[in-house]
Amino acid sequence: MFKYIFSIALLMSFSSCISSLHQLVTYDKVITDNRITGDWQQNATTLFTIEDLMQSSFYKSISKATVGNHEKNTGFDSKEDSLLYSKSYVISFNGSGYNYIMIASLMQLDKDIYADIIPVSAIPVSATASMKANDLFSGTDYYPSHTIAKIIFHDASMEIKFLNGDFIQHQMASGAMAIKYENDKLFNTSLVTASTTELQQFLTKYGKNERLYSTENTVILKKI
Amino acid sequence: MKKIISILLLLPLLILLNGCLTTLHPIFTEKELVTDNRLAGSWKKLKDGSVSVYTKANKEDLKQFSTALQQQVDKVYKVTVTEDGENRESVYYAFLVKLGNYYYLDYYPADSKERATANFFFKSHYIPMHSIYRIDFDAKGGFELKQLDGGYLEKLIKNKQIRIKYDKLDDGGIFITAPTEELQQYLIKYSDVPEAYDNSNSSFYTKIN
Repeated sequence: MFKYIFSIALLMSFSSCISSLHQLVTYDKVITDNRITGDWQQNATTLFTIEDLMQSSFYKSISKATVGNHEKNTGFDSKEDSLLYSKSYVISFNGSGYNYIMIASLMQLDKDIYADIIPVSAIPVSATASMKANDLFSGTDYYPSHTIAKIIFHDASMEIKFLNGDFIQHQMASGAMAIKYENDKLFNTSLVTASTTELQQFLTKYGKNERLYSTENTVILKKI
Repeated sequence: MKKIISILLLLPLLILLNGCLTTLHPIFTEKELVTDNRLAGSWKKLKDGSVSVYTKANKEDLKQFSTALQQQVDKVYKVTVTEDGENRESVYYAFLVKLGNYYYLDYYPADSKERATANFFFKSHYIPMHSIYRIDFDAKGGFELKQLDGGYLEKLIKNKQIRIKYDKLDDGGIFITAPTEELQQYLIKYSDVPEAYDNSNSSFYTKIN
């Protein structure tokens, strides 16, 4: 049932997406918009599926993996988590022998819709000796971060406009914008560390500035 | 079943400081890297039989990093760890640094074959972290790797016994954002404090090649 998301080639052309340590969307701000669900096509060969998390194939598959009443009772870490993820969406796509699973949560700021996207897992499509379910980015070697995008729905398509990291860093360096972030110059690593509230304030202030996005960081998807 | 979603989402976060000390920034600047001829070669971990092969990195390996780091290529090791009985490899860069009286290794994940070909968009969500160990060479030609205990630092932070830069995560966990200088001060100050190390994860290595 899972299809494929974003063209690898297209996403590789992103000039610089920006990663955030903290989430943009919280349980009290999350919205649902079922226009996002369905099968989407980016070009002739790339497809992806977005499903309501609670109705998703992913959720059903992990339900089967749950063993015993104890785990069922403990559920999400908190009531807030449960509220957030029960209104979120699962994005799934295939590539390089893996089925990638991500979660998108939506919120509205000043009439615009924003998505907070996080990675969940990369599951081998056909397991081989060197491809184990959790060996891509598991453990403590990596920390999963959030990316943020403005979502614009059209009649039969959807624009996903990711924040342009290069522009934001340039603006911060010149003092035109301010947001808390860490930059490790030796390893070329950047991470926005602004709190959830600060992220929301940042988008309220600058979200309508078209320069915050760029053509390179925008994906247009057609509904199929 | 809900718990599994939480586990999938939050596992890296939960174990971040309960095991190895992992940091966003490195424990060294480009001027502080050292080399030790004893390190290159193949090593067997006595605890689990895994094999770690230390080789010198080359310029191609470091092209994703800054020019300053690339210029130190002769002081950068690449480590391939193969689990005993498995066909799976983990690859890291290892940076050897001397701070105070001891040598430390800063491990940074490198792309394995699978990671290198992973979907770029998915991959770009994962921030590579530095994992910190102390390395003590012994007279018999082996070495011991002592894992710094992230939980101990978290306890110091929560008890307000230390001032070090960090970010509080939504679940109450700690994400260390301290700059290199602060990390070095911590390592030197607590170098002889046994509780600063996770003894259950200390490992002895013997040379096999």
